[in-house]
Amino acid sequence: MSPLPCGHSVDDLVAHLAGDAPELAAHVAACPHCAARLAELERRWSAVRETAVTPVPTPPGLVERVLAAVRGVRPRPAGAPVEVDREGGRTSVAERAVLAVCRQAAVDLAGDLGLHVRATAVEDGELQVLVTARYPAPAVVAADDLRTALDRELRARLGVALVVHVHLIDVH
Amino acid sequence: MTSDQQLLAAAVRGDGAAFDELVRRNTGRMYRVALRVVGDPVEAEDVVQDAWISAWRALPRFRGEAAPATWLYRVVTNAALAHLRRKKPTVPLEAAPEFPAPGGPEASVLRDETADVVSRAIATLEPSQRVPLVLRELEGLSYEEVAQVLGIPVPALRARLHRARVALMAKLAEQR
Repeated sequence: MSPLPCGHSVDDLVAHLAGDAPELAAHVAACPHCAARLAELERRWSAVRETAVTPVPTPPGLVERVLAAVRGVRPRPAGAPVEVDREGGRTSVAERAVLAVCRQAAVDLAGDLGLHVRATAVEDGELQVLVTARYPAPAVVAADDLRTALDRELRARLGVALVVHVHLIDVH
Repeated sequence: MTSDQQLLAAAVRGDGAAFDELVRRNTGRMYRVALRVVGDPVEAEDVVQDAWISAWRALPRFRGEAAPATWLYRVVTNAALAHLRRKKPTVPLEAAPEFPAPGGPEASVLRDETADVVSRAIATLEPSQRVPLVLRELEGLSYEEVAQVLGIPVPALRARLHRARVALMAKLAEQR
């Protein structure tokens, strides 16, 4: 970047604005070349300062979804195995193992359908999947496709049949 | 009130309820950082979930050498960087609106627009520049704190931050 007529550069002025070049303060205060360029830089820098104090709301339900996700990977002494139907009888599978497989399968399949997995949970032996979609994706059809694909995928991965529910909670 | 330090110590001992409380207290901040680094609300939510799962799994290795806030900043920025490595290149800046003028009756709306313009500009920077910029200029951490989060010496951080600021100013100039 070409220097200003005074020999200093815009890079120097950026450092000055950030408070990292105290040795420049006296020069900048007296230099017309720096003053002209500094006014424009200050306007841009003030936008950064303004951004720093602009509140960023936490999305509704995010804390609950995080808690559900964390509990899904946490060992639980009371965690009962999931009873699933299988040819010739019932099979017990550790809930954590089921949830880990279900979550990964849901994430893998949802991306191709334009959906985003927000949370997964296994309740009473049934899989609950919360998803969001981006407008204008055909969200309802995609959610149904995900349910069908997940059902097929879980049979393949776990070798068991699990009732799958997909809930569309938001369209962005 | 129990401090985050005490909660984290309890969580390290296996107290799930203490960890849940850490989640409740800090998810807002984790989301804010994730959003500012990845630049997309939906992706930021994924990053936050991944970050907390990573945090839970990393508890056995936590030795208490960092403050909880520093440790959580490290966890969420690592999750954000991992997310950016996995995804394709981001959206170009051409469609970004021009800087709104400050002040006036719609000041808060304009402030949001300004934040949007700056966030879009940050999202075009190299990931290695975004993280220090967000932590220092938007989160207000000291140089020493940011250096600790990133695990680099302060002089190296200063150099990286300077390049990031110059790049950001150039991006913002393109929008005029």
